[in-house]
Amino acid sequence: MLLGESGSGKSTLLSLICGTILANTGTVSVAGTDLATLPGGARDRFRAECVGMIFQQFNLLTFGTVVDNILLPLRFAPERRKRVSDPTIKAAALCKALGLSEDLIRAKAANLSVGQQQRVAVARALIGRPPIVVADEPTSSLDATSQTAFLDLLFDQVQSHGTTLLMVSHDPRLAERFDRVIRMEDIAMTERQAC
Amino acid sequence: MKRTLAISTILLAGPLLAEDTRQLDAHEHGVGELNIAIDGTTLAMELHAPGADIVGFEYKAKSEEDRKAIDSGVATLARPLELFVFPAAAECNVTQASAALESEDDHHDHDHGHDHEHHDEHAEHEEHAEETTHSEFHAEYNLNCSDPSAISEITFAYFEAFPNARELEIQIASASGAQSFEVTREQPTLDLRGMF
Amino acid sequence: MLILRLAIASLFARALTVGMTTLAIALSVALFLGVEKIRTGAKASFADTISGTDLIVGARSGSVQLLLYSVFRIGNATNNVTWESYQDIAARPDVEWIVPISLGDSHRQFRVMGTSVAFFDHYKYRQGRDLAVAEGAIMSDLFDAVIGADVAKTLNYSINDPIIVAHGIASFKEHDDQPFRISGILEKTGTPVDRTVIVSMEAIEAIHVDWQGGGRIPGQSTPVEQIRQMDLTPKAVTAALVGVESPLQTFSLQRAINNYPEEPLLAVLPGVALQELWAIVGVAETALLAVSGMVVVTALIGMMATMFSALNERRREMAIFRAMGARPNMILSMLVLEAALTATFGALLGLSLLYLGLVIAQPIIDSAYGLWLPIEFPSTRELAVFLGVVVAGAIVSLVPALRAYRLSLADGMLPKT
Repeated sequence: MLLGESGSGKSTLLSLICGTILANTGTVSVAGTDLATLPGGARDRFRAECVGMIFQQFNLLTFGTVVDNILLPLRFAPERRKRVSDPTIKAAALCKALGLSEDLIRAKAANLSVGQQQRVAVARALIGRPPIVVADEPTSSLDATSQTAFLDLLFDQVQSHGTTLLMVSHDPRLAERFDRVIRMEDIAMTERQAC
Repeated sequence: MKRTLAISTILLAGPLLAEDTRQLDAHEHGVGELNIAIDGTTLAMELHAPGADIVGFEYKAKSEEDRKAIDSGVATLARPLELFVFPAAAECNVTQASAALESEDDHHDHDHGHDHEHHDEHAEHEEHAEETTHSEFHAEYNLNCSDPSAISEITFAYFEAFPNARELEIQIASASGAQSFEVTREQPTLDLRGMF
Repeated sequence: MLILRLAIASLFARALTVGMTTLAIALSVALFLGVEKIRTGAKASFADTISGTDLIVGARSGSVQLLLYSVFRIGNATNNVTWESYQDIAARPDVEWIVPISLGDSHRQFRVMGTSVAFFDHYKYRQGRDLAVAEGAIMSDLFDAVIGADVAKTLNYSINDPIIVAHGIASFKEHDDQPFRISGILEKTGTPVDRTVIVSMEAIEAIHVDWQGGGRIPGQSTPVEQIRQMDLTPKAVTAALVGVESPLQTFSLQRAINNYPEEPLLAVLPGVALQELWAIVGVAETALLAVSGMVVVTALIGMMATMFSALNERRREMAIFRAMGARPNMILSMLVLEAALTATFGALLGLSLLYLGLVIAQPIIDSAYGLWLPIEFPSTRELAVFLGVVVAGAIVSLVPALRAYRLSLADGMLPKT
């Protein structure tokens, strides 16, 4: 878990990890790959294959159906696609495991509640079992009770898929649920000392 | 006096030429005219081509060389199937072919039945004809084509035979009416699909 | 497939703006194809007006002018052809048939044409169709008139109705002393015949018995019975339609008439004169086509503007695609695909509008202008226009798409909204 106040550079760090921006100095190594060595197209491919992404909110393409949204990353990640024998069935199973009713799968994403949307985002991040799931304040748009339920579901699924979860939050209360917690201040400190 | 004569010649030549224009259309170097009429299996063609197109000059033959050029031009014009290539399937044969060089003055007399008054003007015109003369080759052909419906196009080897010719204005008259076309050195084929 | 489905869904999600854009494209395409349709329809209609006639003969003027006044009743002859010349031509062995035409009188807004009975045998339209009498019979008496379908319909005439023939077009001095009678009404042809009152050549002479130089000779009024006794041989014809014995003689007859020494005459091949007319009309045609082409371009630029303004709202959407691993190239091609789809919808709608418009306007245009626009499967030319609009739409959309490309490269997963 990455803990830090807003504006402390958490999101920028996530972009670095995902390879949508490149570091001016230093190296960013994800799952053993130095992202700076990859050309742009390969970085996009790497992100598609290795990273499942969950945003704070507005995760989904509102004009698409739930199943379209869940299957979208597979379109860009052939390796992930290979790991799923029948994507539609897998998408339905994920939805069920995340407590979304079966008939919701064909619904337009725009018609879902925020909580439902966040769970669809989890399903989308997990499909095809990428090595890392990156979640950027996934609970901040939820109320307190939903937060706990959401996190329970998230942890369950991450565990059952054998995936690493990298979560960014400003809420220290969540820290106890993670194996490792890194504070942005510490990183920033290190950086400053290095200068 | 000489000057007034020259002016009056121009004035008189104007209408005369204009009259001719209708018959031959404008005498424009590089541009010849070909009329094709078809009735049953008979195909009649008449070609009018400026002397400049066929032999490269339009003055009266001055030298042996000029005369040779004219003879050779006439001889070439008398072999229509080598100038206008019809599809083999149409099986066209020449039944009659004639070609000749006519100076402008010749065919005035020939084609117009001018009254006396007209002839006087004409004579005046002739005096000055030397400098401004235009000559034209005329050719007439009759072909017999066993299967006219197979004439889907005509290829104009004419432009290869006569390097000075640039264009042919073509009119075709058939039982279904008349149409005009243009064939140029750059596009020496005439598409006639559905015409006959 | 997924991307195409999402692109369509995305378009539907923005139904209002996309709908407007589609409508603009549709209207422009309908306009463009409509102009094209009227152009080709007018051409076909003109070409259908005369068939079976080998030569049109008139006083020497321009070939297009002769064609226009003799066949289409547009404009007037500058000179007539004397009856002697007409007889000379008629007597030639290579002339199979000849029909005189005498114009210059009118009935209300319709032209009166004097001709011979042979006109009904030899005048052909629409690839050789004959004129047919819908009611009554062709003229058999000196004062019989046969009227075209539009004349009958507009003036509500029926058989045996009296009809007054005026001298000169749009003249108020009517030949009210000659009691003409309608003997027949022709079937609709879609040609100027529909708007013509046809009488015999002798009738035209009869009308002018008491007239001289455009005015009535004062105090003179020849009784009808006396007129019937008079020699009504025509003095002149306006033009003549000629059929040759064989097409082989067409050109020699044309040349002979053009070189006719006693009178300056002009013989034209109707098909060739029509082609000359197209060459003249071509300029206006091109201008009209260019204008309607510009309307299509305007509609496409409108689409481009709409896409630009939507880009900001859609940065989130692009960020999601980027986060899923989509390359910026994909964002670009998705926007181009959307534009191509919009253009396709627009062009399809335009085509439907065109056909709908044709169904509604066909009878109106026919009765107002005598122009019959056929409703048929789109021509290859129309399909090419269709395809052109789609391709042009895709090309135009490259501009906003490239901007989206740059935005999504800069934004990555974090749109600065």
